[in-house]
Amino acid sequence: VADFIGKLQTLSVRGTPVGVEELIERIEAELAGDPLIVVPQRRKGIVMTKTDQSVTSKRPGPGRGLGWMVAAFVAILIVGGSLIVFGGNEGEVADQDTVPTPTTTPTAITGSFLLDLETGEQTPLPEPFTDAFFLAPSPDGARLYAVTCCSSSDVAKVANVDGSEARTLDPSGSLSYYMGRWSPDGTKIVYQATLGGTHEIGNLFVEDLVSGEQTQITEYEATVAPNNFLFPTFGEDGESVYFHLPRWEEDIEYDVWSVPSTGGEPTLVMEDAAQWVPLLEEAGAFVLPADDHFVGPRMEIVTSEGRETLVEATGILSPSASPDGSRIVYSDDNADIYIVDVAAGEPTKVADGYNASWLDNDTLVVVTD
Amino acid sequence: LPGIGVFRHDDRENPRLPKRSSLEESERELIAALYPALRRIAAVAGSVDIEPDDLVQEALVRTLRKGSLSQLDNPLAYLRRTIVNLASNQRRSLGRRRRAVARLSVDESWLPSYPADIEAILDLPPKHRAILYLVEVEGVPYAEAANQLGMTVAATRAMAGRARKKARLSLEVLGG
Repeated sequence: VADFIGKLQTLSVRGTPVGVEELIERIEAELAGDPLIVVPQRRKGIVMTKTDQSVTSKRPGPGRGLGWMVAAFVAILIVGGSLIVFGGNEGEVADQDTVPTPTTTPTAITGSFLLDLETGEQTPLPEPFTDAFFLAPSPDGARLYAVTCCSSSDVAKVANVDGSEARTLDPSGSLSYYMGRWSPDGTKIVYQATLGGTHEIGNLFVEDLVSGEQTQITEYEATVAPNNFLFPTFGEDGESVYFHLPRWEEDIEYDVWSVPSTGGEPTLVMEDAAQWVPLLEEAGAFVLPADDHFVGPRMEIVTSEGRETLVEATGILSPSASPDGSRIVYSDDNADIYIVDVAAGEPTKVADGYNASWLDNDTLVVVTD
Repeated sequence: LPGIGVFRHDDRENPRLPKRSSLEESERELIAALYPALRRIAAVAGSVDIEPDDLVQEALVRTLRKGSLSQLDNPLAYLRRTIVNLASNQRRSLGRRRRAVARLSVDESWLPSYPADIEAILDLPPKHRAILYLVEVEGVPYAEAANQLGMTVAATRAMAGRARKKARLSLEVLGG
């Protein structure tokens, strides 16, 4: 302990002090200059209509694209580019053999790839998945939703896993459809529609991939948050959508809410929680938020006893449950992908990457860049 | 709106609030008094490629945008918590930036380097470092450390235990 204390003392005097006078000068200059602040005007929610394959967004007023960039930590998820969702034929389920033939490339794959958990084999995904920021497989493992991030030109698409039959979800390109997740029956996708490249919250929409009908399920006013992704996901029965919202107190906290998948009044599910993972009816796992961010130091699981710690890690991000509900995959702050067994709670590193989700019980879709 | 009751703009960042061009004399005196303690926690909790003074400055600016320091019950605790939270957020951003830099094979020689044993401590999350510093170096009671970091006493004790264990393991590895 004495050795440790000495090292902490050494650390506590590092750097070159500027002194109080200069510090105060800097503070006054920053307060006077106020260079950081631009808050978009509050306005009514996004009005959307849809005719056939086209979606028209009517967004009133200026102010778009002016999200205040004070919180640099949002850059964690924002590296530039566009959010693109790739999808398959409307209502048409592709065969499993649309999965590309595995290559023998074992390591150093950049972009996105399929990971066979039994053999460790990695199969690069084709265009247009290579530059995806987030991928979500359909429940049957035949199609992928994909999105790149984060600019005003972000587009979301759905396509077969082999890259064929790609369809843009918003042909008009006026909004970006982030963090999409499939309904349990594979016919719908819930996503967060917002202005790409900004910190606007936007609203949640459910799109029926068969009929093309798009339903706005939340009615939040346009506003901004340092970390604006809401991580929507369908519940096990497909009747509700879970998501988290930031809450400002002294610091920013996060709570998990649910809303009917047809729209309606959101209800609070869990305080101090984020990135909900549905596991069972009205139960699931979630990430305990930390330090003004929805990534957290701990994943907890809801049991009959209450909240129990499932795993601890630095910066747990984007957890997703396996189709059989027995395991959860997540990434951490070191851009490592882990799988944790829900019953045993033992995490195992399976890949390098920023996020991953389940194509089936034995295969992950991994995003590395 | 349903659910919107918990969600609002952060008034700290509202441009409609009056700008403050200068500090009151009492605030200058308070900053001068708190500066050494704030700088130490910033040096311990902050990333090595961020100057401690920059963290202190950002914490003070954010706090002053909300109001006067004199309105705070415990300015030292509040500002230290803000500094540790800022350090945690910046650590995440910097981690990704460093990985991006590594991918681009950009020269990282500009990054400051420290002896391996210090680097081992820097591998600990900012809040872990801050707890250990407050408890072990400054001798702050757990209850006060918990107050300064916005945690429960139990959580603070548990985190301190984990931090000691991690640090000990790292130092043992370095020591062979």
